[in-house]
This record gives sequence, C-alpha cells and structure tokens, in this order.
Amino acid sequence: MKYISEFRQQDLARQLAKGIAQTVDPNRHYRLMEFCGGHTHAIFRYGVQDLMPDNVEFIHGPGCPVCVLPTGRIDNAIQLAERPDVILCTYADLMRVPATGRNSLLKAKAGGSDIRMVYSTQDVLKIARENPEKQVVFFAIGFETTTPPTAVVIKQAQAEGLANFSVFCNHVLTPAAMQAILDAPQPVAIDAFLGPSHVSTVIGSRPYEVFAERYAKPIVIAGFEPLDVMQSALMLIRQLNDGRHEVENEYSRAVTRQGNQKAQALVNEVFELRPQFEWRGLGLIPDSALKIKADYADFDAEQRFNMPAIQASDVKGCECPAILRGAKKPQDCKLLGTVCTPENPMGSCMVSSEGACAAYWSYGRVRG
Amino acid sequence: MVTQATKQNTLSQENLIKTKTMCLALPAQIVALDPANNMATASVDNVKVEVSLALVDNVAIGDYVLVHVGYALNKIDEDEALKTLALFAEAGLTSSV
Repeated sequence: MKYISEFRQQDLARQLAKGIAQTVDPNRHYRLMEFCGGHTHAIFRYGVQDLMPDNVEFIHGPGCPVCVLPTGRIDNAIQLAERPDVILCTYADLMRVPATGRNSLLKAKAGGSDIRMVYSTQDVLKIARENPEKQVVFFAIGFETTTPPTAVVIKQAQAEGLANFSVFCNHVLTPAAMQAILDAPQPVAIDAFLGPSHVSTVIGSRPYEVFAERYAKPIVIAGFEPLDVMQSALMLIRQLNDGRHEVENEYSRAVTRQGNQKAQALVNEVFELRPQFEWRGLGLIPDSALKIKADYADFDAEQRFNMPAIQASDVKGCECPAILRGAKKPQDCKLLGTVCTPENPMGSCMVSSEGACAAYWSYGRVRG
Repeated sequence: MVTQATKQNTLSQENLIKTKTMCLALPAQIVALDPANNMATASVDNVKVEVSLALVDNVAIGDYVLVHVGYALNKIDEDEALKTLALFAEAGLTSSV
C-alpha cells in the first residue's frame, strides 16, 4: 500500500533505532509526549518503545477525543436519544464509553433508543432526509481533523433547508489542551512534544510555534507510521541535545505551515470559541472547544433541545484523568486488566482504540 | 482458498477503513471523480471508499489523498514523501560515521 508500507520497513526501523541509540546522551532522560492517541497506538502496535534506548520515554497525551469527553456529555447524548422523536447518530468509537450509572450509548440502543453508528457526516444527512418525521441529531466529537466534516454538513443542511437535522457539538482544540498541560498547577515533566499528524494537516504547523517559543519545548509534527514516529523522536532528541526548541515538520508529505485553509475557513464560518469547556482529566479549559455560531443556531442541538449542563463523576478507582494528563501510565491503574477491559471498559481510555489503556491491553503491556 | 483469504483480507481492510478510523486517516488513491456531487471514489489496497471532496481543491484521478471519516483531508505530496524516506535511510548511516 503506497504511503503505508514504505513507512513500516523493518530494515529502516533498525537503522533508525541505531541512529537514535548513537544520538542519545546517556546522562540524560528524554521525556517525549506524544499528544495524539494515534501515535500512542503506533508506538505500541509496532513496538517502537522497545526499539528506543532506556532513557527515551514516551508520555501519552490527551489527544484521544473519545477519552477526553466528560461523562456528563455522554449522559446528555443518552437523554437525547431516549426521546422517542430523536434518532441520534454518532461515530462508532463513542458507543461503549461509560456514562453515569454503568450506562452507555450501546446499552441505550439495546434498550430501544434509536442510535445509529455512522462512518461519515454525509450518512447523517442521508438519515435526516429519509426520516423527515424524526429529529436527527449528530453527536459530534473530535479534534480539528473531525470538525471540518461537521461544518460541511451544517452548511449543507442549511442550504437544503433540512429542518429536522441538528448537531450536538463537542469539538475541541489541540493547542488549548497543549497549553493546559504546560500551564497545569503541577505540570508533568515533559521535554518535548511529538505533534499530531492529522490535526496538523488541517491547522498547519504554525499554531505550535508559540509553544516552542514561550515554553522552550521542541515540537516535531510526526506522521502516524512507525518510522515517522522514530524519525520524529530522533529529531526531538537532536533538538534537545543542541539546546534548540523549534517546530519541525517530519510529516511534510501532508502537513504545511499554513494547513488546509479551505477547511479552516469552513470551520471559522460555522463555529466559534466556547468561553470554556470541560475535559476529562484536564478540567475546565478556557477557549478550548467550539460551539455553533448564531448564524447556524437553528442546527444547534443544545439550543433546540434546551440541553442541561450535567456534572458527572468517573468510576471510582479509574485513573483515566491522570493518564490523560500524562501524570500516570495505564499500568499504574488498579482496574487495568482486572475489572477494566475493552469488553467491559470502566474508563474512556480503555474504550477507544486510540486510548492509552486500550493500547497497553491490546499489545501486551499489561502486568508486563 | 486464496479467494477466501483475499476476501477476508479485503473485508478486514474495509473494516479498518470504515470503523477504526475516527481519529485516523489513511492514504488512498483517487480512482474516479463525481464532480456533480463533489465526491470521488478512492482506493486503499483495492478496497474502494466514497469520499467527499468538500475540503480539498484540484484533486485529479491518480492523486493520493488522506481519507478521514469519509472526507479527503489533503493531497499527499510525493516529493516530500520521498525526502522523508531518504531521511530515514540517512539516520543510521550519518550517526555511525
């Protein structure tokens, strides 16, 4: 598969591992936070950690949209889906995320609510057109990569006059979360960041420059394949050795400094900043999420259904919040692999295939 | 036997593309265009998916795009991909000198 297999070649991986081993300073420890859950997944799936010297540590970040969504928002979605006039549409990743009282969208669906898993936002429009007597709500989550497809369908719905369609918007912003991690009252020790792949195809590499400057942290935008991750780690190690802190772009085949301006313009047209938004693990973060602009308020499910703000607590003993901040590793959680498994997840990090706990479980890092 | 295995492989690829990719994006080649609907057919390892072109401009048959939740996010730059591959090959060599 072009642009996939070449970036997984074993001989090149060995060569890169050799290069990294020869570049690291044995007297220092390198703590590299991979922001994005896709990188966490690649690191474990391909055994990248095992190819690294012992003093190079990957710290898993909060870049898994399913994982950072607070329980209250899932409770909101379930309440909405329980209305007999509503069809709730969502990406498959959200179906098993635990809600309050051991509930989940999957259980609500089994209980009779009309909840549909969609692959694309275009599928939601189709469902809305085919069910004019129903209210069709898209439970939208995701970082900057997933936001433009939501903007596209809101505009399409307006153009078509699709009055039974609306969006429960939970889109969040990567730079705000990065800042929250760096500004935390008890910050996790991080030397450098592996920047997100696909978020960066949309926003470009420019939004990270402020972090490199203000916080003196090297950042390398990294592709999702194992060789990309290794090369990016090498670039970060070189920056740290040289005392540099710059934004470098390893994923130049898909990321530019400016990003996808067409997608950005669409997002800016439809969405605006929320004053604050709650993140699981990171708490309330100012200017960290998007809401639908007044011009498109007719398609805002929160307004249409007068949805309440719900404060909900996580399962007792679940370490997802600390894991999402990078303060703990999945193996530090007592529930991991005992009561919490992908079949019976207690916390969101075990649900999504991008979650750190799911990666540890799937690739044999449990009790290892 | 071979057919069965191929079929299973194809199904698992489709599964990969369609269910595991809310956060992921895969490189796919444009094999057909539907300009009237701003859609295209893209192929990953011979598995075909319908993708919206609402977020990209000037996509032609043969181009590789990153596909994410049914949308082409970006075109992939072949020259840049080759440069990155060359960097990998250099890594072990330059530091061993």
